[in-house]
Amino acid sequence: MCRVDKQEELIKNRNLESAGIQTQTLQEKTADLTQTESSGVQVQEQNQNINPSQKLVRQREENARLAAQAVQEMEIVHAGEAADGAPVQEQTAAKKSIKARMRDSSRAKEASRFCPVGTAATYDMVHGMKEHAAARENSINDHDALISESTAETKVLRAFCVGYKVDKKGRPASKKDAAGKEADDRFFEDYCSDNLERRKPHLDRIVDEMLSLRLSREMFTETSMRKHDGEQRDMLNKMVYLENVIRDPVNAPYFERMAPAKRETLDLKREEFNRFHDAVTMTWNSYGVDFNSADYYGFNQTGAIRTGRDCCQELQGAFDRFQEEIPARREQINAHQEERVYRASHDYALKYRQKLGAFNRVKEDERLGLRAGEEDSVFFRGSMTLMEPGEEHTQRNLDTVRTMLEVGRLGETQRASEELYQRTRDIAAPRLKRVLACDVDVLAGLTDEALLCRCAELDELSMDNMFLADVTKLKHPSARIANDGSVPCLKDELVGSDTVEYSYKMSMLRGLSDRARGLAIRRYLSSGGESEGLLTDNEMLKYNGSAMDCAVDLISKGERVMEAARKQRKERLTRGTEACEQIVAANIMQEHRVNAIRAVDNPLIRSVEEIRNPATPEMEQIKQRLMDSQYYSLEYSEQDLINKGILPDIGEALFRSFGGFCNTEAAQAILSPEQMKQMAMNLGAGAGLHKGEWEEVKETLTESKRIVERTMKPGNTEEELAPAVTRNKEGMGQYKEVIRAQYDMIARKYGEKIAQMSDADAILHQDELVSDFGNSQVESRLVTRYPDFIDPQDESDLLLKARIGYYALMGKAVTDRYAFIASGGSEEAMRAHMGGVMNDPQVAESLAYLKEHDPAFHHATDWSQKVRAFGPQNNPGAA
Amino acid sequence: MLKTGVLPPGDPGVFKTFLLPDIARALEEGEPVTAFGLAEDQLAVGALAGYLEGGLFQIASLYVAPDYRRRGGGRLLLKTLEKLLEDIHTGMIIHFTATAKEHETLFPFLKAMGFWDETDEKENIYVTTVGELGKTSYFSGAKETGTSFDQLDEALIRHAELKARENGSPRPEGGIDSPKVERRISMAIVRDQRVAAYAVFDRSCLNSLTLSSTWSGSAGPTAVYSMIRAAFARAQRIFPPEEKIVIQSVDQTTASLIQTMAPNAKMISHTWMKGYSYI
Repeated sequence: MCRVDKQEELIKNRNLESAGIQTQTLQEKTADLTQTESSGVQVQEQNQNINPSQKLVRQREENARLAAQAVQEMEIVHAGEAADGAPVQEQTAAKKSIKARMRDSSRAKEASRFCPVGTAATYDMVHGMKEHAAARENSINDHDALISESTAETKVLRAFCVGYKVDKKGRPASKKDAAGKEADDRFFEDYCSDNLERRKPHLDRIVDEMLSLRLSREMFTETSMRKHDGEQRDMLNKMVYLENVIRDPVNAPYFERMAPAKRETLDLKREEFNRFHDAVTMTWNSYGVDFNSADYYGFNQTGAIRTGRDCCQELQGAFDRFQEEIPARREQINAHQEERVYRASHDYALKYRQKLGAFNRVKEDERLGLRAGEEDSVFFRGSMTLMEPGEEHTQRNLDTVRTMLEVGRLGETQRASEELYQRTRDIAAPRLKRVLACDVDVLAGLTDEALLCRCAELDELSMDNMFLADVTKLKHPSARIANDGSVPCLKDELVGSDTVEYSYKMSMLRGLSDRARGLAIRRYLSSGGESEGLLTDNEMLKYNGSAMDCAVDLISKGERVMEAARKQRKERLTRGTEACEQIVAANIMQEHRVNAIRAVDNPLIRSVEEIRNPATPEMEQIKQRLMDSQYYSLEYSEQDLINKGILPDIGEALFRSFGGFCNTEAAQAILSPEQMKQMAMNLGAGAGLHKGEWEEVKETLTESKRIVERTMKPGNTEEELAPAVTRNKEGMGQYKEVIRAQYDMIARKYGEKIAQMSDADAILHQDELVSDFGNSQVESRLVTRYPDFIDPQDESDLLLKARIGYYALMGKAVTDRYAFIASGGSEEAMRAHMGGVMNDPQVAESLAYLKEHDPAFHHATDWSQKVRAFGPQNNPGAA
Repeated sequence: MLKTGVLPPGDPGVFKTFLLPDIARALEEGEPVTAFGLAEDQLAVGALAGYLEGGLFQIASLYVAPDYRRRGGGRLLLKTLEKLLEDIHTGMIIHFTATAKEHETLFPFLKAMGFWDETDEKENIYVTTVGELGKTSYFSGAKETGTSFDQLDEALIRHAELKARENGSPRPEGGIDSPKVERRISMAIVRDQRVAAYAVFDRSCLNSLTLSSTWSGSAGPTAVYSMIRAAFARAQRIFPPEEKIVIQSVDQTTASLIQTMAPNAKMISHTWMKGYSYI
C-alpha cells in the first residue's frame, strides 16, 4: 500500500457519475465548499437562530430511518402512570459551554483561512497530528549518524520509534518522555546495526503491537478523530510501513521462520489495515485534512476534499463488511493450524509404519538373499530407516537392504570393495550432507508453535542418522593407513574434519525432532484429539498406550539432548580444556585420514602418478627437477641472479608431494588432469641443465634438515637450453595463473581479519585452512626468489605479490594455531608468534600495499567465497 | 417484570417524566429522536432517548426511577438500544455533567455495561469551593492585580463591552455589562482610562460562581492570572467557604492551571463511550 499513490488514484478515478452514489452536482458542491469559506462564527450564529430542538438533531435522514426501524422492529410500550422520580436538570457538557463555543469558533476561523471546509474539528485534527509528529522527529534527529550508515529506512524508524517531547532546554519533558528516549536509543542502535539477531526483539515488539491493534468504526467518528488524531496517524503510519519492515531483506528470515498460524494472522491483520487506511484517510480528506503532510487541504485542493466526501462512507462500509468476515477468517486460520498440528503429531508414527511396510515387502522378496542369523543384524534391522515408502521404490529399497547386508558382512576390519564403497557412499552421502547443511541453531530458536510445524522435516533429517553412523564406518578400499594405524572410512570422506559440527548437528536434530513431535502430540491431545495413530507399536507398549506420557517424555528428552549437545560443543571450542585438546588431537588425526583419501582420490594427483612413481629415466629426471629441494630458473646464470639481487634458487621443491598444490581449490577448479600432467611435464623440463656456474652438489643430512649445496659448473649452451626454457615458461605461466586465482579467492575469503580469527574458527575450518595455505611456502619463494615471476610493470602482478606476501605467512600462522592448541601452547606464546609474523617486513609491506590498492581487502572473513575459474582474477576490485 | 419498548413518535406519554426537557420537547415536536420506555406492567419506570450524530448514537437522556433500580432496568434499556444499533454497526456515547449525587451511580453502571471513560481533562468543567481555594498555596504571597467591577465606572464597563463585541473578544452571555455578572469579584485592569484586561464571573453554570470569560488584551497573559488571584481573594472575603466556584477549561494549558490553582477541584463533565463490537 503506497499511501500517497493510493490517494491520488482514488482522486483520479473518482468520478461523480460513475461512483453511483447520490451526490450533489458539482456546481452545488462547489457552492457548498465556497459557503464554508465564510467565517465559522457566522455559521455558528446562524445556527443559534434555529429552533433549539431542531439544533438537537442534525442528521435528520439517518435519525428518521433509525426511529422508523425501531418502531417497525419493536413493540410500542404503553403505560398508564409513571413511578416517582425525574432526572435532575443537567448543565450541558463542557464542550457546549460558551467558552468552548468561543474556542471552537476561533479555531474554525483559523482553519477556514487555510481550508475551504475548515472547521474546529479540522483545526484539532491537524494540530494534534503535528504535535505527535514532532515527538518522533526528536528521536530521528538524535540518531542521524546511525541512520546514514544503515540500510534501515528512515520512515520505518520514524513509524516504529516511541518519540519524546522536549522542554525549553531540549531535555525530555517528563519521566515518560525520558523513558521513551531511552527505549528509542536502544531501538535505533539495534535496528540500524542491520543485524537480524539484534533487530529480533524489536521485530517481536512491532509484530505484537500490530497484531494487538483493535480497529473499529468509532475511529471514524469526529469525536474520536479530534481526540485521537495524533495516535491514529501514528497507527496508520505503522500500518503502511509494516509492509516495508516485512519486505526488508535483513528481516526476511524472521518472517519466514514465523509460526505459520501467526503469519496468517498477521496477513489477515494487514488486509484489515488496508481497508481501514483507505476509509480513515478519506474521512480525513472530507474534513479537509491531508494525512500525509499532517496539514490542511488548501483552496486549490478541493478535489481531494470532494473525493473524501464522496467515498468515505463507501469505504467505511467496505471496512465494516470486512470486519464482519474476520471471525470466519480467524476460524479458517485456526482450522489450518489444527490441520498442521494433526499432521505434525501423526507424522513420525505414519512414516515409521510406511517404512516398516516397505521393509516388510523387501523382507518377503526372494531376491533379498538373507542369510541365517542376519535377521537380527543391526545392518539389516537398521536399513528399515532408509526405506522409501511406496511400491514404486521396491527395487531401490531392495538394493539398499542388500547393500547394507553386504556392509554388515564385512565386519569391523575388512575393507569394502570399490564397488560396495561407491554404492554405500551413494546411499549415505546425500543424507549426511543434508545434516551438515542444516542450520540447527535457527531451528532451535523457533517458537514452540513454529517448531512443531517442522516435524516432518525434522523427522526426515534425523530418523536414519543413528543407523548411518554405523554404516559410515565402512573402510575405504584403497586409502593408506593413517599415522595412528586407523584406516580411513566413509565418514572421514563425507564429513571430513567437520566431525565436531556433524556430531553437534546430529544430536541437535535428534533433540529437536523429539521435542517437536512431543509438542505436536501434546497440542493435538489438548485440543481434544484422539490418541489413535500417534504412537508406534513399540511406544504403545512402552507408555501403556498413553500418548500424553509419550509426548511429555519426548519434550523433556529432546531438551536434555540439545542441552548436552550445546555443552559439548562449547567445551570443544573452548581452549584449555582436556576435551578440547583431545578433540583437537583427534581432528589432526582426522585430517590425516581425510588427506589420505584425497591423495588417492584426487584426479589431479592421479594424473601425475607417472612422475611420482617414475618408471622411465625421462620421468625420473622430471621428478628430480620438480621435487628437488631447490628449483631454479634455466634462463639465468648464478651471476645474473646475483646481479638481480636474488638467490640462485627458490630454496624449495616446486612440488614436495603434489598434494599441497593439487589439493588447492584453484588447481581443482582450473586444471583438468591432462592439463595438470602437461604443466608438470613442462615445469620439469631441463633436468640436469643449467646456465652458468654452479658449485658441486654436496648433500648434508642433519637430525632436522637436509642441506644441499650446488657446485658451480660451466653452463649449457643456449641451443641446449632453449627447448627447456620455453617449456618451463609455459608451465610457469599456467602455474602462476592457478596461484593468481587461488589468492584472489583467499583475499575475498579472508579479507583483513585473518589475524583476528578466533580459535574456534581455526579449529573448525582447519581442513580449509590447510587446503588454502598448504602450498603457500612455495608460492612465497617463487615471488621473492624466482626471477621474472612478478612483472614490476604489471599492476595485477604487483597485487598478486602483495597478496602472497601477506597471506602466505599469515595463513600459515593461523593454520599453525592448531598445533599450538594441540600441544598445549600458551596464549602468550601464540600471540607473540602472531605478533612476530605481523612485524615481518614482507608482511608489513604487503599489508600496506593491500590496504591502499585492494578495495576487496577490507572485509571480515567470508567462508562462502570460492575460486572463480573464469572471471576477473586480475581485477583488484572484483570481490 | 420489567420490559422495554419503543416510545411512539410525537407522544412520549407518561414516560416524558423520565426524559430531560430538551429531548422530551424534541420528541413531542416530532423530531427524529429514538426513544425507549421501561415499564413494569402498566407503570412507567424509566426511559432512554437519543439520536445519531457524528457516527455514534448520542444518549441524550437515560433514567430509571429510584425505586426500580438495581433490577436490571438500565441494562435492559441499553441492550435494547444496542440491538437496534447492531445493523448499522454503531456505538454509543453519553455526555453528562455530574452535579448531583445520583449522577455518580452512572460510573459503575456504565463500566459494567462495557463503556469506557472518554472524559477529556482538557475540555471540562471543574468545580471547587471558596474554602478549598483558600487552602492552596497558589494564592499565598502572590500579586493581586486589578479592580473589581463594582468599583469601576459604569461607562468604563459599557465601553469595554462595546469593544469586546467589536473585536470578538470573549464575553459572557448577555455581555460584560449584564446585570447577571457578579461584579464584586469580576476584575479589570484599567490603563489610560480604558479597560485593558478583564476576568468576568457570573452564575451561568450550575447557578454557581462561574469564571465565564477572560481577556488579557494589552496587559499580557500574566495579567489574567493576577486578576483571577485577586478575584478569588475577594471571594474568600465575601462568600462563605462552601460557596461553589466553577471554572471551565478549554485546553491543556487552562486545565493545568486549574489543577495547579485548585488541586482538589472535581471534573464534572463526563463522556463515556461504547464502541460497536465485531466479536
